[in-house]
Amino acid sequence: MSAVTLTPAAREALRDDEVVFFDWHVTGLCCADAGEFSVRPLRRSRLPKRARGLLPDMVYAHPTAWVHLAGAPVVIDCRPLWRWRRFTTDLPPDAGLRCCLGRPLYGSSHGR
Amino acid sequence: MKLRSVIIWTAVAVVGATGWAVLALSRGENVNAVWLLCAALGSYAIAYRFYARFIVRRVLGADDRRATPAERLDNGIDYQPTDRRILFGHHFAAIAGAGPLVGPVLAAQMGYLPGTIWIIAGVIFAGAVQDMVVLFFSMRRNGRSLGQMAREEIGPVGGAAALVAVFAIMIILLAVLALVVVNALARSPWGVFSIAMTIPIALFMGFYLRVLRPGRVVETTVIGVALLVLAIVAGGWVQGSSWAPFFTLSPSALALWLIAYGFVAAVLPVWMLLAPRDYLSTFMKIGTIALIAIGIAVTMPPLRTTAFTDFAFNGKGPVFAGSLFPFVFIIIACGALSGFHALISSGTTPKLIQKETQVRMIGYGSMLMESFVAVMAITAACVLSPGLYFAMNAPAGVLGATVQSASEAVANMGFTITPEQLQAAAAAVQEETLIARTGGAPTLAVGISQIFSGFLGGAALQAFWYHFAIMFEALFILTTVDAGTRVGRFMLQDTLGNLWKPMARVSWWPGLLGSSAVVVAAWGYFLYQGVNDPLGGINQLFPLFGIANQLLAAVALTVATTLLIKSGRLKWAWVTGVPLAWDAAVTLTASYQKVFSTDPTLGFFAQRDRYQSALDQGQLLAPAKSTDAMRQIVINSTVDGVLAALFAVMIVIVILDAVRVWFKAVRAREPLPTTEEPFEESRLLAPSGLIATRAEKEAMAARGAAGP
Repeated sequence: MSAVTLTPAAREALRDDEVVFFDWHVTGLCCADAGEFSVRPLRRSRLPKRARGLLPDMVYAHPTAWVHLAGAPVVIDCRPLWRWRRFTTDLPPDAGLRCCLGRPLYGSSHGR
Repeated sequence: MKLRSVIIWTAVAVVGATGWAVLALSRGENVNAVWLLCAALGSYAIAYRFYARFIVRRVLGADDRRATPAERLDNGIDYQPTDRRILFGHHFAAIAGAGPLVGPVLAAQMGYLPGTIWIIAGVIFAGAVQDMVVLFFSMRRNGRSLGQMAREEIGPVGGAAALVAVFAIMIILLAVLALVVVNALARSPWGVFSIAMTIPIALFMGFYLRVLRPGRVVETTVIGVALLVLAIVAGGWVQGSSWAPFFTLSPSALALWLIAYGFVAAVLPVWMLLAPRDYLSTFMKIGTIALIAIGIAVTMPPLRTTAFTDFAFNGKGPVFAGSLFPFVFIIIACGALSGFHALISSGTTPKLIQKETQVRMIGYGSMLMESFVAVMAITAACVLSPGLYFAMNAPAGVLGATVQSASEAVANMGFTITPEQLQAAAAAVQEETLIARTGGAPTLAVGISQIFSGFLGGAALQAFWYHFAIMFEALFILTTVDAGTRVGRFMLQDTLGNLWKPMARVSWWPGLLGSSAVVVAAWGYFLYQGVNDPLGGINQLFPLFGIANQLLAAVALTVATTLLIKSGRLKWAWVTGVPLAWDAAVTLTASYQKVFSTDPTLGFFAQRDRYQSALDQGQLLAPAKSTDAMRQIVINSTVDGVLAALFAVMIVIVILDAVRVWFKAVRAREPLPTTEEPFEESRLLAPSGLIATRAEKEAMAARGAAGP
């Protein structure tokens, strides 16, 4: 069962032919596999073939992002900046690297 | 085993053995680099086919009937396992970083043979085993990281020691890598301009892909790579123009710029700068590695270094102090055995793997490939004349500032290079000077430029290839600086969050900025110290980095050994136990010598005492030229000595805590409780190796299951 939710503002900001996409950005760390998430709106037709669903028809993720986010309680919001729709999440800035090192997603006080 | 297999593997063994025989027995003539490749590739093939398979089948008992986390995480809606070939490429691209390039270049101080033996034997019996075993155990535990497994399997004391070690390692790693970049770019307007251009190029790529043309990855990549090549070419124009002085930076100035960059890059959104830069660097890295391999095979350069130099035995080398044991193993670090792989690779890859037996290809195979990168790095260093190698890698305090003084200093080491040859070498790559360009990156770049220009463009392009190689190394070192600062930042936030509640709110911007600043200040301190160290920053700090990395490898091997014993596989515990014992012996010996040696060129505290006594008597000791420099050496040596002692204490704590658990497990009448996920039947059929066997193809065809 997915734990990803969209706020009303995020649902309203999404156009009919769009989904929210969690991308995964590989970050080199000397020698080792690490990465970070980012989130943006994407037209359904542009969704990468390997994208996996987190919330049917609304939220998808890069396969690597998916394995870390599956089952994680993530809230997606949209805070417009003038005409630019800025989708945000309640994931902390280093969420991806935290996952790669097996740390609690929301910090040690929340645990996981 | 079928007759055809026997014939093929015998031939492979003969090729490998011939390569080793030529390398080991040749004296008095230049050995061709191709023999090094034969020895490496033959050994890797045999190890992968027999030793890795033995470990997967007999020791680990990998079971393809058992569902992996990737299959278990399937929410029943859209199961899409990652193809093993994509995962292999992804894993290799991720693990092959700066370490296997720099360490082997420095280790060439001892000749080509000691480093080559450790790079190949070390990876076969230690590094690749560590990666594969940790990957396997993490996979059986739903992708638990090394830190979590250390805590759960060894205990809170061992786990806490591992956490402290990881933070300390991160700081030293970032400082050393940044120092490598500073030494590569200092006083090189071409290099500084080219690297500086990667920032706007990456920003442009980030916005292009995110805002202008979302999803057009190939298009963005083509544009990015083209701009990168243009930046390298344009660097040559800038060098000859009136802009050159603006881009000619001293080491100290460059260090300050790097510190500022590290802070800014760590607080910007990752898609804006970090991700595009890393994307570019991955392309360059893989392309360059492939070209080096082709270049060596095509040009067949002779190795101009001897099998052993005197420094291997007398420990008086200018690049780093210390004799063959333990320091060649410490300096090579990632090229053979790297704790870092186990640390971060246990986070993502275990959750993507399709079948348990694929750990052999992905865990063992990827590390073999990284070792091959290290082999090519040591080859590139050893195709240079020894005189040029030492003129580039000895510290400035030893060589002096002029080609004459450098030539004399190299002659005192027992090698030959004339002032004219030094000038010609610098002119060939269009650099002002190559003297004391320590850190390994410029040496590797010169070696690469010689190999590449031998088959691509000739001498006219040697300068371009030199700066191409500098760019390639600097690019992904800089992404490491950025990503590493982020990792250090959240580690610090988590720790401080236990003491001060606001810090526990990881999205709180003041906390984010503050912890970024602290981490940057920590590695920035060591960077600045290294840049201004009269004894040479690389000479002083690189052994510390190597010790730290090997310490982390010891933690990983300790966890792996503990898991083997706790899961009733005591008779196979030697598979990780023997490399652990070796690694612990190497790391503790190196730490001991760095702390307690009475030789001031080796022991940090002996060095400190010598310079402090001279300072107390009002004397100046070379290479210090002022009392400030003397004080700097005293402070640096003290700090470095304390760190070396701290690393030794960490490793002892972890191992002792683990031994307690081993005894408990051995004495227990029944197996101890396991943290493995319960067995769940797999519904997936997929090949375990790169190429599906006939039996696997038939089974998949019959089942009509997913996967090629």
